[in-house]
Amino acid sequence: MGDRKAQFELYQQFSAKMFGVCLRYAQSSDEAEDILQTGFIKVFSKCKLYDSKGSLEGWIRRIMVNTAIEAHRRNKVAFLESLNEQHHFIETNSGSSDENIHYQDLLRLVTTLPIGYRTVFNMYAIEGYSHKEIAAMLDISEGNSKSQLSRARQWLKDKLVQIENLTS
Amino acid sequence: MNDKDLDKLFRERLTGVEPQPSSRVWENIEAELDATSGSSKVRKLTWLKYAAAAVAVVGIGVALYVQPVEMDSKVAKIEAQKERSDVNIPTTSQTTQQAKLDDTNEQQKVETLNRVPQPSSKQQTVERFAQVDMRKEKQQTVVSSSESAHQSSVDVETKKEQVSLAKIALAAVDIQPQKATSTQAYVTYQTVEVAPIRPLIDIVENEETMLASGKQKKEGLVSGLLNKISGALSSDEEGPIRFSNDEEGSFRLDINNGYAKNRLKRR
Repeated sequence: MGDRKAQFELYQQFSAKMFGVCLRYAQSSDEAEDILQTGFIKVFSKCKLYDSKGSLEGWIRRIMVNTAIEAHRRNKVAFLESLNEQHHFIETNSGSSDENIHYQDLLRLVTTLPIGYRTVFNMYAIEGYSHKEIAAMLDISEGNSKSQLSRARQWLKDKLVQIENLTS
Repeated sequence: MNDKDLDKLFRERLTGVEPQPSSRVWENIEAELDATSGSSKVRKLTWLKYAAAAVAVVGIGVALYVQPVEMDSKVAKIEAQKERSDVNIPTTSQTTQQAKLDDTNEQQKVETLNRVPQPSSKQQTVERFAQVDMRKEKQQTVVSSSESAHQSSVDVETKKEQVSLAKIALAAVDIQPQKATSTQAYVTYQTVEVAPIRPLIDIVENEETMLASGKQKKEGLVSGLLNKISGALSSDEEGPIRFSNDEEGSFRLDINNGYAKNRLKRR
């Protein structure tokens, strides 16, 4: 492995971006930092495996997503759809319309999604993975991935409408 | 709002912001990386320790091995000298007697035996003569070897002893200036020392073996250089390690007081 300075430069370059990724997958900010830490240790220890075909950012992002999924697995989280989950929406104080919804509000929405929904929605809508890839990474079927995505979308839409109704 | 708009909203808003993680994340990463690289350092260190220990063991082994060998060779040398001085005189006198005087009786034998010390004393005087002008041991050996070459004739031709001795003296004197001009720029005429008492007759073979095991060590180009280095490294002029080449040209390493020093260090 290269010297510490190079590692720190790499960390400086990507830590903020990757922390944003981790925050979306994690339940809390603390968990997101744990994932970020573990992810970067993996990046530094596996940097020889990077084949420089894709972008470095994409490679690191993939490691972060995988680390987040592993973290959930360790917590015995099943990514299978469960219809009986109770969703507690934390009301936001932001009085804004669709256009002005802040980052924090959207992040809070995403993190309050049930973990299965959240993961699939993050991977598909934001990271841009295909259902096939998601199914392989989460060890679920493609159909399951699709249905979880549609439920997540519906759930988010409902919440957005709720916010709008509250603020208007 | 359709699905694509929803996805786009979240994608743009959530990826547009890059929040800074707290500094303790990097600190933890650094600590973990140090821990993993530290373990490899420790491994390297232990490897080095083992290597150093192995080298030390081999070094002590060599020192212990070389020391007794040297002692043995010295003892053998001394024994050889004794043997020669004990044996050579009677046997050589007998052989010369048998060769020249076939019809000798007991009286003559005694006579020859009695005569034996005579030439030795005279030889010493000759040596004194020869060494008057000589200071270097090298030159001594040259003369003594020339003498020993003539010695058989000295023993045999007892009548012409004086003459032959004179010849030897002349020859030695003849040789000496040659050596002096080649090795020494100026010659001093002084009496310096009396050569040690030598046995009457030196058998050439014995002499050669003596030279091989004796103090006269041949210094080759490499061994000479190494000697200078070892001399420069140590406080005394002759370093603890000396190098020399033996008769066959193989390399020899002498460690002086190596064992004693090791033991002192341990205490």
